[in-house]
Amino acid sequence: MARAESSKDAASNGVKANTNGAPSNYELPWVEKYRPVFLDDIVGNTETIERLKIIAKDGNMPHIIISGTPGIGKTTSVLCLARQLLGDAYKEAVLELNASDERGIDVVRNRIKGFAQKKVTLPAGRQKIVILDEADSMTSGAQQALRRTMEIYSGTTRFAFACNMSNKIIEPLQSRCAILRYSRLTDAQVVKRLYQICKAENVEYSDDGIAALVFSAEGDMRQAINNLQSTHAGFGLVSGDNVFKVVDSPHPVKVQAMIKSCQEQKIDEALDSLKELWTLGYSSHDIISTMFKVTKTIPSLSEHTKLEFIREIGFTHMRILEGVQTYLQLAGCVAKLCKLNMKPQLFTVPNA
Amino acid sequence: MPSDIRSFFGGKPAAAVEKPPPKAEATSKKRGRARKVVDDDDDDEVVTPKKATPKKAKIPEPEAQETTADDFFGKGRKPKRTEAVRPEVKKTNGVAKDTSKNTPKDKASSRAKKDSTYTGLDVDEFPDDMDADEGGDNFKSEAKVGRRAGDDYQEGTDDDDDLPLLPTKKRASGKQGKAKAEDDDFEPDGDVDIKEDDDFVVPDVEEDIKPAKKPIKKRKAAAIDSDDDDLEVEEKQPSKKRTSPLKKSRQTTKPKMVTGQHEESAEMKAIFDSIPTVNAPEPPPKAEDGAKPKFQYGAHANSATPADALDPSQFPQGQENCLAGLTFVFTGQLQRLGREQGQTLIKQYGGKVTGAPSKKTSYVVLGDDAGPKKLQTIKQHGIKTINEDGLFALISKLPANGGDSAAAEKFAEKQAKEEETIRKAAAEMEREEKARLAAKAKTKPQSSGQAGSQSKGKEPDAPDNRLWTVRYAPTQLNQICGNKAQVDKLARWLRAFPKNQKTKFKMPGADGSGTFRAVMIHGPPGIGKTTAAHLVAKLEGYDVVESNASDTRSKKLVETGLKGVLSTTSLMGYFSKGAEEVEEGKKKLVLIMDEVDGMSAGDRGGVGALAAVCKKSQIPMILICNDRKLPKMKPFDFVTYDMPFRRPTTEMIRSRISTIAFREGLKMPPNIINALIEGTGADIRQVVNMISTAKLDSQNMTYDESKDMSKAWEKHIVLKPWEMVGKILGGGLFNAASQSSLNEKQELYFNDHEFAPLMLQENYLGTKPQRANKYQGNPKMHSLATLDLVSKAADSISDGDLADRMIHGTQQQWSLMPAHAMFSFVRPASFVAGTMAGHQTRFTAWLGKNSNQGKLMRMVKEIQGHMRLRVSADRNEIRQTYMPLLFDRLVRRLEDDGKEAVPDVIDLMDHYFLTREDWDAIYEIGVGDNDMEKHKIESQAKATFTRLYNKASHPMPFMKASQVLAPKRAPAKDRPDLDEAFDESEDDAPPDDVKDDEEDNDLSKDKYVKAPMKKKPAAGASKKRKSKAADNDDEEEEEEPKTKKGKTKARAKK
Repeated sequence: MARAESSKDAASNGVKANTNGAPSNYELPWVEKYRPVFLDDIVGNTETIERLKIIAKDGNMPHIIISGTPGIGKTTSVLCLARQLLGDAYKEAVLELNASDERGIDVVRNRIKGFAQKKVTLPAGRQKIVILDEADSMTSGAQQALRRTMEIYSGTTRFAFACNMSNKIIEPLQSRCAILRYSRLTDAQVVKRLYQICKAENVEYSDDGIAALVFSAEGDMRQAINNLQSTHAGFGLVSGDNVFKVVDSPHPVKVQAMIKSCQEQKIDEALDSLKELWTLGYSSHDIISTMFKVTKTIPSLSEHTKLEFIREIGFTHMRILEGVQTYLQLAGCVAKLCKLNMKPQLFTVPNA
Repeated sequence: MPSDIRSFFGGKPAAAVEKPPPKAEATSKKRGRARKVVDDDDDDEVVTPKKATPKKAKIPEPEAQETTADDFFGKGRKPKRTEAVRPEVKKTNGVAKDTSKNTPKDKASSRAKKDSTYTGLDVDEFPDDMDADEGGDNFKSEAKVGRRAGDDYQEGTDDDDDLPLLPTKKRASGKQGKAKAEDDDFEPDGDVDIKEDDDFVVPDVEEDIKPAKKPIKKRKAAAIDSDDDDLEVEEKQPSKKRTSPLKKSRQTTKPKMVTGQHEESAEMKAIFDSIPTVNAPEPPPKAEDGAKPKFQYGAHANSATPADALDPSQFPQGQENCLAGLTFVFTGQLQRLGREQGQTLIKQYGGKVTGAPSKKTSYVVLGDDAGPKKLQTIKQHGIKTINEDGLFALISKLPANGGDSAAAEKFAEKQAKEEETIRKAAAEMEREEKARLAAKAKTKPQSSGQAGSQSKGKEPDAPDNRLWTVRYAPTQLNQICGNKAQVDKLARWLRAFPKNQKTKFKMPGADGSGTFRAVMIHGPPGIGKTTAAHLVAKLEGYDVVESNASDTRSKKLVETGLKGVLSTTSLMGYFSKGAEEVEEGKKKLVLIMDEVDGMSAGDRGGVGALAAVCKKSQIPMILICNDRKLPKMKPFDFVTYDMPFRRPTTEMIRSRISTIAFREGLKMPPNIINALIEGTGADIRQVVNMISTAKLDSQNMTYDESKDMSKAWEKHIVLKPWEMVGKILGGGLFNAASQSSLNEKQELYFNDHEFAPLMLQENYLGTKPQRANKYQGNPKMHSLATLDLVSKAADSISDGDLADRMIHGTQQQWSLMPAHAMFSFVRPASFVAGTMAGHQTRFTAWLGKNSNQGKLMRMVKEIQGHMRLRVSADRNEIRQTYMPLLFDRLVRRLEDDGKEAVPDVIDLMDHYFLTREDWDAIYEIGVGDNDMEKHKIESQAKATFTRLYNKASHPMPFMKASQVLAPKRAPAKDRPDLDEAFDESEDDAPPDDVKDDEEDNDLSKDKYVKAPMKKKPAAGASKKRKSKAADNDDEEEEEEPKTKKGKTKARAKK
């Protein structure tokens, strides 16, 4: 409990290097270096984190499943929670298994059950914690074996699962757990953290660089930080152009503009933006798959139009995969997209 | 027929009660309700005889007979009966009966004068008769109900007759005459006459009956008593009455307030009156030709959200719980409100939504295409019908908690009662808690200082560390939510187990469970299966030995491990201090095998071994699983007594949850708890988990929060192929109002990317495409539009196949997966999505067809291989040109000429080096005219053919058998690998075709290879063959027929 309080002053610790005993000259990946240690430092998903904080304070953690897309702090929050709950007993009272460990049914039956039966002296309201990271990669047999274990030893052991897809967790386990769904971090949340890190690492940055990082990360904090580090290591200055050199995918905004001009039947503009992308050196694979992704989510198109567009894009994608990776194919695709929205009468040869 | 006539007349005064003195109505609503029943009955009868023909007149007769019999008994008993209450109940009920008998007759007689209509009405005669009969049944059942309530009904009529009513009779008879006359007068307007009749009679009855009877007040009391029964009857009625009385509406249009025993307060009434109602359309008349327009049930289930649905933000904001106590029914498609939205809205404000209208319904929210049945019921009960506007008006106008309207008050009363029980339960829980703590304090005196005997009002120093699901696990049978019958059955079985053991499980007992040594509880997670099993065992005095999925349960371990358990008695308590006696009963053991379906890798053979143990166990065994239907649970068929546990209803769980919430000081109104329960699919454990999480940061919860929470906690499980296709085609995902994005639809595909396209392809023709709906009025355009949409969908599916070829081809272009998802799943669905009413989602036929194709292809290949020495054609040519001819010469010959043709057939086969299997293949491969089904060869000819063929030796082409060897039974692709636990050897009889395949494999292996002789040729025929075959130079060939023999025998066995 003392820990939980101390994490208040650790707010500043959030941006302090977390060297974890590694030699100081050794460059840790920033993701690890700035991984939050206390729940207070975790950004995003405020409500859920608030609940976890209460649990950390009061103890008696229920079984939990945390699910969400990568890079939004699932594992981090589980680890923070365990650390804050157990403090010094962390080493003894936490069993952490992730996909890199063997987690077959035998491990569940022997190691996890054995751990659950183990007696560890803990303060009241604290239980041993089994952290199963990437639980969606556990076989259903192993999950089945967890069912009764979770119930029988619930007095002394609690389970925390972290997974990307909660549908890979069998229903009986979901029924036993509090399910916390993490959503993508908002851009503001990512930006805030990026600024902190830039400050701590003395990174030169421009605002459009940060914007580009946030944009390319799509709410994935880990990716944003990794890209930041790569850009910094490669170019020094974090600017928009540099970021896109690192991230290196056709800029969705440009592609979106292109699709939009297709929709408005402005074929020249569409071809211009395609040419621009092409001259930037992007491969036709990249361009076409970005087009696919963008079309799927573009808000201004009706669903029917989207599906028609996707059909054309899909066929072009197939042709490109067959080996025809030429500009002509892409241009043809763009032209067809334009044609989709034009009146068919325009294309009939008038009878002379 | 004196009695007949008596009832005939007796009916008149009774019918008159329909118009009771107005003051009576004012004072007692209940009574009014009873009266209404009568009214309705009358109405129905009015119409039935309308079309009646002389046949009609007969109908009352048997009933009259019955009455006489009753009369007889009634008379016998009558003198003894002196209570005052009887006559009253009789009165109301008697009315129903009497009118039922009376009116038809009456009408029939009037009809008798109307000769001219006879011929014209003949057509309708029979259906109507049936209706009338049903009407009669109905009344009988009513009568029964009435009897059960007061058991005086028949006798009552006697009272009527025998006592002072004689004058009435006479009067009535005179009246009858008059009524008849009137009937004649009113003939053109046949409907009104009854009414007239009634009115006419009323005054008389008031005079006559009232003085004759005991004070009417008591009768009212009785009427209230019998009110429940009336309601029951009411419920039954709508289902039975099939006549759709068109005229009826006129009589019943006066709207009634169904709710409440007392009057609404003025302002409430004003509000209720201000609600804009809509007129319910006439229920469609019954089709004249008897072809009843079939109403597609569930036709609207999928089109729940209309195209121009309102945004939730546009809903009116109402006071909290303002709809309390009101019951709503939705029917038809609303213009601007999805049905689900509407239901949510009503529930949010504390209203209740039921499926079908009944007397208790306050409002029907009516849309287009309402179900005819519902419309009829609405008419019948004169329920208020409103549309969305009415609903919104209700919500925005009604005060919180439903104001002081009658319904709300009743509701409040009910709630108070519920709260009372909750309080009680909570107190009970508290007591238990104390007891537990006390016990703990006793056993651990040293720790009692901190945790023990503290007052429970405040939090003890050491908080209770247990999870809520553990803390509030039921400790008594009545605390288990739902599945009461099953739990009782379980307890009974367990109790009877020692007795059954003595009788060696020969006596099935009342519920047939007596012959089983094991029971199997199955049902979805979180509904208390394990809890129930443990609790029952505990309460029945058994010690529990539990084994679950966390224990290894392989065949060996089950066999050895359980042996130890099965032959021991419990030592529990043996070493305890002498203080507590070890009771005799405590030595009993029960084995609970949890998560039987969780036996998986590493538990090889466990299921089979467990099933074997179940057969001879000497201690009771309770097995628990989620899915009984899994193939791997098959060994338990007939071995265990199945007890399906179902999801409990919301009401069952609610009180328990409220108790827990109350106990934890969490404020949760019922509608919020309802939302939570519904959101989780009645998973009790999860609801408890949810409120325990919610408790963390707040003391109460709003409706929206609860909705959000149950949405967030929604268990995501991989959709089964059926659900997947049902969702995309019929789930309204393509409605304009639907919020689902393209990405979400694509995610559906990724639930099972292999099955999604196949399932869609199988079912895409089964929908009524939504996009074609705009041509609704024009059948031709509609079907053209549908055709166009289907064609587009088919195009898209074939586009998908192109992509699929690239994904699963040599290139393995997995990056095309999203495109494939769109092509083969989302896009076709976007065309044909609509309602799937009347279409059962089929499983993809492609898999079966594909494997069949493979098999046939193999056959052709083999035939071509054999014929290779004579013909130079490739496989396709053989199939297309030779096969029809061969069919003609080989199969049809045999069919037409019988056994005479056999030598020729065998000659031809030998010429082309065809074997007996090839003959079978040719027989099977035929299509069109040559279809196997169309050519039945008589068994005698076939037997001769087989015998003769086996007798002789046949030339064999030289070729490696391995080339045509069927692939060794493809590794069980369709079975998930967790089936490893499923012991094949225990599996009785794999499907036949599998056996067939296996045989074929064996044979083809043996065919050209010298194999050790496995079987002594049993038949004499084969001996002969041997001698004949002696001059056969090729040894290999000699082996062949022998194996063949074996094979045909095997075939015969099958």
